[in-house]
Amino acid sequence: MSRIYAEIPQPEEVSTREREDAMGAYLMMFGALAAGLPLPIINLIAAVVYYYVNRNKGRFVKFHTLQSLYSQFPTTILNAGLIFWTIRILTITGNPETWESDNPFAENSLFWGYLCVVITANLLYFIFSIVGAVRARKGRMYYFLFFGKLAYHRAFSGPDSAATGHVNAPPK
Amino acid sequence: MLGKIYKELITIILLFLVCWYAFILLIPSTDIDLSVSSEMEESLGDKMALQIIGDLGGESNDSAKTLIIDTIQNRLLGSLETSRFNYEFHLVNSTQINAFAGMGGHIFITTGIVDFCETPEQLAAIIAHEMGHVEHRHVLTKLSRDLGVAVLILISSGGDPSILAKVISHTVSTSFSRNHEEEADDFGLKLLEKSRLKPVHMATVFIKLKTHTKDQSIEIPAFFSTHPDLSDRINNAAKYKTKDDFSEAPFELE
Repeated sequence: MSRIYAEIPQPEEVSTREREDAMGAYLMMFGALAAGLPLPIINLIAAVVYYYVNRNKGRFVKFHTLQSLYSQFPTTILNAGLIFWTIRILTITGNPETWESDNPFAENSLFWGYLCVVITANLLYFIFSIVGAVRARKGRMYYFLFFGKLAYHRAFSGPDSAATGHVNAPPK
Repeated sequence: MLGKIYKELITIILLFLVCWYAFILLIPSTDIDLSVSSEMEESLGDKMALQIIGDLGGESNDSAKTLIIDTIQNRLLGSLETSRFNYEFHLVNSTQINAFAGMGGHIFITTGIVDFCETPEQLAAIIAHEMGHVEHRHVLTKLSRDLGVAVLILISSGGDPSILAKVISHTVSTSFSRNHEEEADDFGLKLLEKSRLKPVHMATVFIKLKTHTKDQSIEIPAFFSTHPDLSDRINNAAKYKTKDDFSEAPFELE
């Protein structure tokens, strides 16, 4: 059974306020990211709060805040993994007195490979977020790989409230 | 729509794994290409050995200890199927509790560590471990990484003695990496089994060294202080499984 999706608003239908709120979902991340270093969980919390504050401001805003929130998860997990791994190497396998000759990070290509992936993922996240913010400011949709479809599915599934036949009425 | 979402999720996971693997391949290995031949290493090892023995107080003439070393050496070398080098074991006059591998098959054992070991089997475990460093060319790898191959070639061709002194000081004072220690342990444990000596002797002597260092009034044995992560290595040595038909042939030394 195919799911019903609501109409996607066109740029001319999106108000300036909605555009700014949608753009804010992406830009807010950078502030939170900087504030959260070296605790990447802070920016995830900020994304969740931003989503709950703005989720009722229309499907366009909901879509962009969700996309921004969902795309936070992998980078947050990757960053947290990197911090955990680094601390583990330093505390368990490292001996500060012999680091000069016995660098605990040497001969650990798995770690260095992971570090490169994390850097790449953060760069991609940064670039896509900037593009997402610019598109949102123009009242356009912009779909990230996977997260875009997931956010669309969450934000636009189900008919518009007008199509449900519900009519608001005065108190009886 | 959900089908597409799942497909893209799988794509992202695959992209992550492929990127990780690609970066692992792209990062140059820290294990350098050893372009120094075994002959050159032996030549360099000979030069270093003379200097190290001199610096540590000369070779010992203690006949009892020499007999122990010779007996252990014969047993271990007899079990070694192939070797890159002609081994030379040096019993050095020093109260330090230490044994270390040099280059080109030289192994230095202090009289202090001979006294420290309760049984010849324990000493054999330490020597087997050091032979692991020799066979894997760990000293050369460490020096090449830290000082550069050019320096080693310069020394082996009769270069500046002051550089040789620096190399020796570096060799003796710095530790091997965790990977190198594990490789040497693996080699030592297998060699002990082949030599009909229980590999658990390695765990026993490591525990003894560890216990010894807990007493703050006693100087930390050099062998231990330059060998990190001893607890893990004790566990590995203790868990080593010998073949079913294994039986120990202890040394017959009084």
